[in-house]
Amino acid sequence: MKSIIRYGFLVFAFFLSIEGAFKLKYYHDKEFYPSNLETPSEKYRAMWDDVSIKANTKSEDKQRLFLIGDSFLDAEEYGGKESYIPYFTQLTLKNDWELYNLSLAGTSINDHKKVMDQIEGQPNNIYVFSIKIHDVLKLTEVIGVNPVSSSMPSSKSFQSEVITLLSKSDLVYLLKDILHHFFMWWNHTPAPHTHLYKTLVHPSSDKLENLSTFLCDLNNKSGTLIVLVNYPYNFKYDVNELNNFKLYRHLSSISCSDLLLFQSPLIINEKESVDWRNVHPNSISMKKVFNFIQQEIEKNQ
Amino acid sequence: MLFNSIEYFYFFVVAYLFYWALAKKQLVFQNAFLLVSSYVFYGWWDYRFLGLIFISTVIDFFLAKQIYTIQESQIKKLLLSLSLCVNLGLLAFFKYYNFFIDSWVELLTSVGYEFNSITTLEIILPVGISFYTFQTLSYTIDVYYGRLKPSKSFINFATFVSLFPQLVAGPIERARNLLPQLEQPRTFSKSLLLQGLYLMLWGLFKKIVIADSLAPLTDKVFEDPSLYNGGTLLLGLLYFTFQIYCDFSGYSDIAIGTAKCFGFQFKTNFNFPYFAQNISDFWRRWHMSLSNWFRDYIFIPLGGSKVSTIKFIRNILVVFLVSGLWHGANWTYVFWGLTHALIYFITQYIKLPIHSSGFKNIVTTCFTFIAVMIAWVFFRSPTISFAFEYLTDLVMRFSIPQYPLKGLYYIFILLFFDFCFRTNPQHIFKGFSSFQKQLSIIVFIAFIWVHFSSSPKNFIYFQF
Repeated sequence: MKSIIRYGFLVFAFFLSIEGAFKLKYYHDKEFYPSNLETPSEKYRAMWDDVSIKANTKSEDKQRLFLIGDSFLDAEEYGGKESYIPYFTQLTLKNDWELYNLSLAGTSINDHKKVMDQIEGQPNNIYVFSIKIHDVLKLTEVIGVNPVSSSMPSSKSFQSEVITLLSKSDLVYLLKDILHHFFMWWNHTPAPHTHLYKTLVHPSSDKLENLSTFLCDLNNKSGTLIVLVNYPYNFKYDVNELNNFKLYRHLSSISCSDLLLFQSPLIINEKESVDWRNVHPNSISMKKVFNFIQQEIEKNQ
Repeated sequence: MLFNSIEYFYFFVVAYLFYWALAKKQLVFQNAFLLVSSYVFYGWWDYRFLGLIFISTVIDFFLAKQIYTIQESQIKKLLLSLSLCVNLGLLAFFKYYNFFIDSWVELLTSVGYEFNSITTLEIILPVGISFYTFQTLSYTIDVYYGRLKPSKSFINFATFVSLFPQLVAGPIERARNLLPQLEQPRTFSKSLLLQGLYLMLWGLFKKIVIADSLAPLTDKVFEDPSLYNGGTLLLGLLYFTFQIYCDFSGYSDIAIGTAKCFGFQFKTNFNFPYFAQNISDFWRRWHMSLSNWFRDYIFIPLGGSKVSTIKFIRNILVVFLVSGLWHGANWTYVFWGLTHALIYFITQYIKLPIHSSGFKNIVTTCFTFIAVMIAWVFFRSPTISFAFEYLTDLVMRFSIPQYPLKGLYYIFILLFFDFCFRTNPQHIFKGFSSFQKQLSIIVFIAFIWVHFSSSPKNFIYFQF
């Protein structure tokens, strides 16, 4: 009994230390990092305001490349030095194009949509629009359906309060990550009952419809649109079983005219992420994806 | 290969298993394996510079033999000079060439000369050159003075020079300590292995958890001190003080721990330096292998302390100047050395006591800590004027720090464990109950796991 208590305490101490270590590691003094005083959405809006006039000036002789996305495009602030920006900068310099980098870590598809709405379409515009799959369900906020009111009961249940509490724990995130890896290895899906699982395997039809409408609307804008849908880069997918993901099937079947939509597992099918927990692409996968997008741009010139 | 990388973990496991599997064979096989492993370890960083280690090894091995056998003192002296010239020449070229050229040009330009043709070279500093150069030098000098017999085996000697735990950032092991260990078969000891593993764990904790977490805070403050008030500059300096301690002593602990796992006993390199009660006490606790080297090969040959006051002052100045220059090819390091000399003279003048007890003890420790901390500004700054501006701003614009508190938590963790519980620099769990030991190990592993990065940060002392 004594040794059970002893080892039980040690296990508890281990988990407590992990939680403490995470809290310390990701503790940021807001004042020390002035960038934390503004939310990513606010910063993103300011980024757009800085370039909006120039970006919307009519120009017939100059190609313009817009990079729109979140940390999957520009992950410098997100656990690594990886970024697509140098690659695209090189590309635009080589071709004498204008580059508009509208990618910022921490922003969501809603922020990107707002900016996309404000870009005036022009035939010589190229938009590289990066979406992470975690964001897909959030899109309903933009379309007008309140996801909170539609998917959750209005009064907070005990269960939802527990979930809110647990979601603040880094240890829970760690365990969830471990479960994701286990289930991906075991049956090629993320861990059941998680946000990622719901998004990939059981997204609601309404939300998928909204996504299609959104993407088709974007595609109607004058210029070339390339949509890159990023799946977590720390999993290796079984390409033959991707059809088990409802989201994948839906994205593959969107039938707007000439929509150039690419899903990352079909470009990269290795665990080429920043590390086993960080779902962002590392420099190797960025290079591969960049080469792929570059070819697509050249094909459509 | 970095100690805090996953590559090192694999390297360590493979090397360890092969090494002890060879223990039943002849000693030469075990040492040859260590030699090859050490070259692989170094070559992982840049194999081109293995040639430098090899040249240094060959020259000192044969020159030391000649020095020992030849009776004529003139020739002995000549051979010693040759060894010094080659070793210090390589060090001077790779580490100080650009520094000397730049300084020389700057000096002459300031008095009116103009240079058009002198250019500096793009020289890569070979990792660890300052460490292994001093190690081989001490061997030749010891043989010259008859303190040591030269090694008969080239493999043993080459292994002594390049032994991987201490190759790139020390401790600077003396031939007198390490060569006899290489000449005897090592026997496996479970307690030594555990001691070694515990020490490695503690070293990794200090490096990965504390030093690497303080580094971005320090970098941010030193990037543009004009943005911050004096209190924040003080915090930035405090963070650097602990960052460099945890970075370097962490490396030493991993090195000593690794050596223990392979059956070697290295000398202690850090002994709670921030608990020193005056500056000479600090140097008896900080980077002890280097301070002892300077004491034995520069300070004492110059006459030590048993000379006239003027000569004593000269000796102290020389030692601290050389110590500063050893750390890096920049005037900031020289100035850092001078600052320590100055603090030394002040403490000598006011006769700061040592081994006093109670309140006096606290006062002298605090005084020494603050003095050492101030000196670190010169070490960390890119230029001397930058350092003076930093210190001026720290005092003139002093107010309550705006931020950041994060680093204080890390320092608290270090102080809590290092200064409250640990009593022995090499045997970290000495006096711990088995439960306390298990608990500490679990906490260390959890923190290291969370803070571990797949792209590990370099150790500060690698640049020296």
